[in-house]
Amino acid sequence: MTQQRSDEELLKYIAQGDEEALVTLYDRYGRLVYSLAYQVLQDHQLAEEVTQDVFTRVWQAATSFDPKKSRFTTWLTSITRNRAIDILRRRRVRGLTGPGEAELNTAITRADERLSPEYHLEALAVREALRQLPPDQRQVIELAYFNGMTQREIAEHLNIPLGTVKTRMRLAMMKLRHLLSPVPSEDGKRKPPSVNPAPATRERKPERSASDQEGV
Amino acid sequence: MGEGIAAKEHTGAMSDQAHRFAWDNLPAYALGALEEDERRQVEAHLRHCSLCQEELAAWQETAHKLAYAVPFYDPPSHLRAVIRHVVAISPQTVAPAAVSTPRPARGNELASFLQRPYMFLTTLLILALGLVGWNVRLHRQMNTLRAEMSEVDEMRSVIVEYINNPSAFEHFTLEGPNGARAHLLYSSATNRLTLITDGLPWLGEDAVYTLWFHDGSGQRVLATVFRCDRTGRAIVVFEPPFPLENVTEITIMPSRATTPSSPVLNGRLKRHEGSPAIFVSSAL
Repeated sequence: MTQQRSDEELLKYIAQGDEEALVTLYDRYGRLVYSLAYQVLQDHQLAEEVTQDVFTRVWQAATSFDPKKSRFTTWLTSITRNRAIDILRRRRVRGLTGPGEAELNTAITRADERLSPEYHLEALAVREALRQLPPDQRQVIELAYFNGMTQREIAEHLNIPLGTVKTRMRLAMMKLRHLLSPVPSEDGKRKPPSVNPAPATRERKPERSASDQEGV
Repeated sequence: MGEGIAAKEHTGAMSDQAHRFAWDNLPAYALGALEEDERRQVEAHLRHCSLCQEELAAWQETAHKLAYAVPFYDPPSHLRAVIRHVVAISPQTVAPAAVSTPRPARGNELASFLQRPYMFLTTLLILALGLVGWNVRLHRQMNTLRAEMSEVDEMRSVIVEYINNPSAFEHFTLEGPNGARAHLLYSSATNRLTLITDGLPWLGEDAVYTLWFHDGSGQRVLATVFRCDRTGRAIVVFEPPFPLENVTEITIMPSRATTPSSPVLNGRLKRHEGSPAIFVSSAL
């Protein structure tokens, strides 16, 4: 029954103490939270602890979530990233980067059938958008988001002027925002931007390619 | 007078400057890439600039999508059960009822509002829904209390039974550093295990410990989750996840991201023919 409910509906149930609603939310987003935490920390044990911590926080603070301010997934990934970056900073682990070119390519073929269609489409769109960025712009974005580095730290890490980092970051974010903004479809509804999936994904999921074309 | 105008112009210029600074730095702010002082400047401006607040929401939406770029991994299968256990013993933040009543209108506005029949009925309906929601919440709280009372009863009966007939129990002890200790009492008659701890490190109000059972094949299974008081004491009664004779090792460890997750207590089960099984605590 709870499987079909929206995230916001599930949060209302969670706020009333419904444990099943939280488990449903975990089934929906556990993989995203765990994978993001792992990407930041590169440690399965710590990723597990972050995931547990994030869902405990959702349980405890469900009543404080305001759907008017942000989408649930924005809130969830913010908590996850912040928690993982906190641990990363404490451990002073540096030198990791975000998913590299090779990793992204394999991630698309691995972005498996277990993902929901919306989830899958979102993942494809973001990876495609990142691939369209010039490598130096993408690098600063990944160092900031996945490694929790400030602009000054990135400048020191890459040994380039701070101004260059600021410019690259701004340009990269503007391009990502443009590529990832929902575009209106012919029926007037908002839908995610079209993506150009890798050939392997097209072969495995031809029906996805057809739907992608609608948004062009 | 002239000084006042100059001061206003100066304040306006400062405000424009602050707005420009915040506006330009919103993408980096959304990525969490600003230095502490820059972050504070942006936040000070955000407090009273709705334009920047709106713009920030869009940048945050973009930044959050980067999470989808990561290669996906399946979380370990036991994590679902851990989370279920943890939430079962974690209190929720108390908040107002999910359905809120409308803001009270004043004077004549209230009267004319209530005179409109459909609005009056809607108000009644909302209030009724609010009461139902409150009632459901109360019902859940009572169920939780009942479950807690039943746990206390069960603990009391185990202790009384152990005092009256200790031979009906298998008793294992695990000892760790700094006086950390755990006793496990197993009753084969009820197939219930009672865990009693003392001297475990204090983890904080929200943090919990997990107890894991290992079998001979290298698999570990979550047996229970518990919270201890400031002296490291806890008592919990539970059913073992698999027959006790298959347990080769037991581990107690904190289960929080903010604390080291290395075991606090660990012991291997040693069995000798003709004598009761014992746990040999590992040096940690």
